[in-house]
Amino acid sequence: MTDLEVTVTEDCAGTGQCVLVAPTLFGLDEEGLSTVIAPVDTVERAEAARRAADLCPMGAIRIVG
Amino acid sequence: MPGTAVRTSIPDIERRLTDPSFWADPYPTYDVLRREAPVYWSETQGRWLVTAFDLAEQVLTRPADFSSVGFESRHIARLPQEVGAQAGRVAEHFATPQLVSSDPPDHTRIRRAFGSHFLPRKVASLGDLIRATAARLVNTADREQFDVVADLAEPLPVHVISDVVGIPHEFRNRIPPVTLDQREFFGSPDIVPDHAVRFTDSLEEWHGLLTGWMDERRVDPQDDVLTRAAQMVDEDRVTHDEAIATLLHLVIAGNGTTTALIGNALYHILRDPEQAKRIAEDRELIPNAIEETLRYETPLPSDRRIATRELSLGDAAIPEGDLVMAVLAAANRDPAHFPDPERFDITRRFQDRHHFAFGRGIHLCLGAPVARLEAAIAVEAVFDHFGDPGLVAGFEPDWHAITTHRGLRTLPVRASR
Repeated sequence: MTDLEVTVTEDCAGTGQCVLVAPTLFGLDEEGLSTVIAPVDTVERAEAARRAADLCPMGAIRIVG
Repeated sequence: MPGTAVRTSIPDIERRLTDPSFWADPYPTYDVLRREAPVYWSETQGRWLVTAFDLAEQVLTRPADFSSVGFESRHIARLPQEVGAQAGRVAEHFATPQLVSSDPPDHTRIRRAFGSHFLPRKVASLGDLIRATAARLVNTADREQFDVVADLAEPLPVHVISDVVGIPHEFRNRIPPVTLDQREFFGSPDIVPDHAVRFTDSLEEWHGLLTGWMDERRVDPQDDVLTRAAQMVDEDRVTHDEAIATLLHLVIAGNGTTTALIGNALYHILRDPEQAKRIAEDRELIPNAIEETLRYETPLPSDRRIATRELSLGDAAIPEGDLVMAVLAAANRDPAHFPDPERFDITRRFQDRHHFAFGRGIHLCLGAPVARLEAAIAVEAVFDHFGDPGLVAGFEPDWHAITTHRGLRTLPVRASR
């Protein structure tokens, strides 16, 4: 278990980089913008979330915890 | 310090890389590099060439190790003295942080300031306008002498990026020259003082024009990037110089590469009558054909970074400060990532459109959604107009011989029947 809370901010531009690196954690909504689709409940997902945050062109992934 | 790195030498490779015939088909040379030394120091080019998919991905996704800052100043410093002496204005322009030549946090700040005009919803709303422009260009061209490049692939992106940014119609014919000036300045192997003088004059002109238009938007706001730029400056989110540099970058980046993409797509589709027929019968295949073109004939063949410290990448040790090229065109044909990479297949399945034509990570092309939409509409327009388009008998491709642009000089197309 991890206590990380991952959110996508309004800076998201739908580049899809997070979906590529963490497909189990992020998906694109009907507007083509990123959304968190699963809880960050494993160490692997926490690592993937950090990687996605690093790769986001808009710096739109916020990780708290 | 140079000389401490592990450098592999490959017989004959430097000659192949610099031979004029390289441009006719660069891919066998990329294959040799990827096989023999996927991180290769090219003595004649003064840069590392990274040709394997996984290693190119490292270069693109580690901005702290592979910086986007400093390429232009370094390029200018290495020009022959008589050229560099003419390039003061160019150096100043590129010393300003802008999308392609900045690292976080500047990059994130600038990207956020301009990103709102490239959201999926915003881009989708451009479809009707792009379709109308493409139809007008195709319908007014000479049907018997139709050249995809001159009649459609060059003018369409100029109009589209001008509509997005807000460039008035009477100035749009100034866009191709400044695009060419920049391409020659950074990509031509035999640059002369005239290039530098011309590019300096172009930059001077554009700084004046863009500044004037931003001032106009302050009193008369529009739904365009110029208005957004003026707002961002007034809210102190970007500086005036950053706004100008970014606007000009959008204008230039928004047209040359898309021109190449449209020509490359139609060339490869029409070369194979079988696949052309499938598209004539089912336009839904076009978007994936564009993805395959991006992979197979990547319009921007490589992206550049500078090593921020001594690094190891694959088997190579890269000294701090060295120029490192992620050769996107080579990575996009890496057999370890793409089955049967030498085959152009409009039905190839991509996982999440995963190829490197638009880069990867934080510098992923801002205009990618516009380029994809424009290219698909352009291909559609040619099929709509000709019904059954085909290459002219005996057509031999003539490629631009430049490291920063993979595109055809002409592409004559006729109705097959």
